[in-house]
Amino acid sequence: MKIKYSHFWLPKAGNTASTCEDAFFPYNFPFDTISHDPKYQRYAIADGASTAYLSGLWATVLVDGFGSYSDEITNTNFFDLIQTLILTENWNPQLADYIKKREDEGKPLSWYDEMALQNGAASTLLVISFSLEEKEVKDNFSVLAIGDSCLFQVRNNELITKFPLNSSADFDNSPLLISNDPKRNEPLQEKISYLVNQSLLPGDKLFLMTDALASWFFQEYEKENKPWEIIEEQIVDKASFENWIEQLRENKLMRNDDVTLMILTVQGES
Amino acid sequence: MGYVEISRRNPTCYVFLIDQSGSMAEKVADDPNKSKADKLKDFINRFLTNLVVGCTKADGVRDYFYVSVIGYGLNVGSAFIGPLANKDLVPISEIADKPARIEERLKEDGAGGVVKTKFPIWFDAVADGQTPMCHALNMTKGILEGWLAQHPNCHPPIVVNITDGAATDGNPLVPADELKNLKSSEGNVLLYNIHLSSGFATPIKFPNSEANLPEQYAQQLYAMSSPLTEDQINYANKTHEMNIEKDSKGFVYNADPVSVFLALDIGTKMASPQDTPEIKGDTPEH
Repeated sequence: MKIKYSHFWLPKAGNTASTCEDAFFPYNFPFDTISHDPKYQRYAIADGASTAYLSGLWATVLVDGFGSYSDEITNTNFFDLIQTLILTENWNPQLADYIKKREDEGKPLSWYDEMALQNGAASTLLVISFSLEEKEVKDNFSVLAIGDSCLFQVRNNELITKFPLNSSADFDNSPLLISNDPKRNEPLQEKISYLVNQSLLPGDKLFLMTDALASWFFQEYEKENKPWEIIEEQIVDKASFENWIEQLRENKLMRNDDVTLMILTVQGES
Repeated sequence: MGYVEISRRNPTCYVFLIDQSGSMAEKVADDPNKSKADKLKDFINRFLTNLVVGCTKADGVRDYFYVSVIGYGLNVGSAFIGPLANKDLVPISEIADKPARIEERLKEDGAGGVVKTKFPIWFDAVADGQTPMCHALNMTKGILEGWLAQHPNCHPPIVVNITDGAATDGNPLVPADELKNLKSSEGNVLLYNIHLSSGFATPIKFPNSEANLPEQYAQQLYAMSSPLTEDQINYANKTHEMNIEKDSKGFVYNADPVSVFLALDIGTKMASPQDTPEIKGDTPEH
């Protein structure tokens, strides 16, 4: 089996693309750095917290770091990976680049930048892993999440998996967030949502989305609608996606927030 | 009820009314080196710091809020000093760039040691004169009339009055009611009151009736206070594990430093946490 993949994103109304704090993998990641014979194929989305500083950069570091990781990711090695792989190899150099860029632009960090930096960046993360055998996707997947970015799996036009939340009532304004400060992540150890050995069949569709769209998805489903059908009817390209999201916002059916959607379609024979 | 989202296109404002009368020179019970005016100075300067930091993004400080700090004592007017002296409502980005000075303080690092931290100062402790609270409320009304004319659809402005004594220039209920009658399309101006204690009396936090208030003066401040919003009550009950009832008012009587912090944190909570900075923990300073 193979995965056909499409992605859509739109910043919060009133904001520019450069201030969008959602991130997803693969996007800008340099693919030539990935092993030629990988064991896993991964997709990831993250929603940087708008209340924290440099959360968009942190979200990007998370999706790139986990999306391109070459070995197994489980709930037991997850935080070790954050600490070692991300903080040491990815985050600190990116932060150093940002600080240097500010200095080069004649806008060195001020007292409030420094304090905001001390408070730390924060983001949700959802990463889905497909095992590969001779470059073909095997018939199961695992998925891991912190926070309210969601996965929905649809088979034969029925919703068979919702993860990690179960209903629109599960959303609130303080989702679990991964911090760039390892000490703040300690309480999260027990709170990782993790599914393993989930069945995968040709024709399955997997929808990965950040909270504003996920909340809409649940609300439609709770009204006994099939939101995946609405998504597929509405979205044919980038422009139709953007128009549709803008309409949902205008009609108050969706909170004004950055939106990311990835659609994975499983193709081939089992 | 949910309020409109706070954004740079639709900012809102905070006004702090700071009692600067002579009695604010009294020392506080739990810290004999500091007066009530010193403590209040630290609270509001720290609040401004947290507000600035919360509005700081990679592209700069976003003007979600405008802030006014009005002192009332020997004089009534802007309490800002330094480059912001005499200014009434100041955008948060300008507050960020124009503190009067930046002090260095030590704070606990959470691992048994201390670290240096920057402590910007926008106004100093003042304790002189009487308590012209009515004058301060009237001045606030003028400021907010101007603001609301320009921002008719903003989140209702929040006014926090912090005092240790009774008004000496009349009945504050009258200007307080006039102030609370001002409104945006989203709702009326919210006026909260924090009464500072200098002793060890037990604070009365967010009451929902006058029944347990000990004196007429406390009842007057209670009557002046707006109810807390649903968002603030939910926030207090979740984050601070409190048990605040639905019709409770934004009023604390005999507030000690911990309850001043709590009242500021809850009373300044706006409806859109997506855009609203969190007040971080009240780390002790030395």
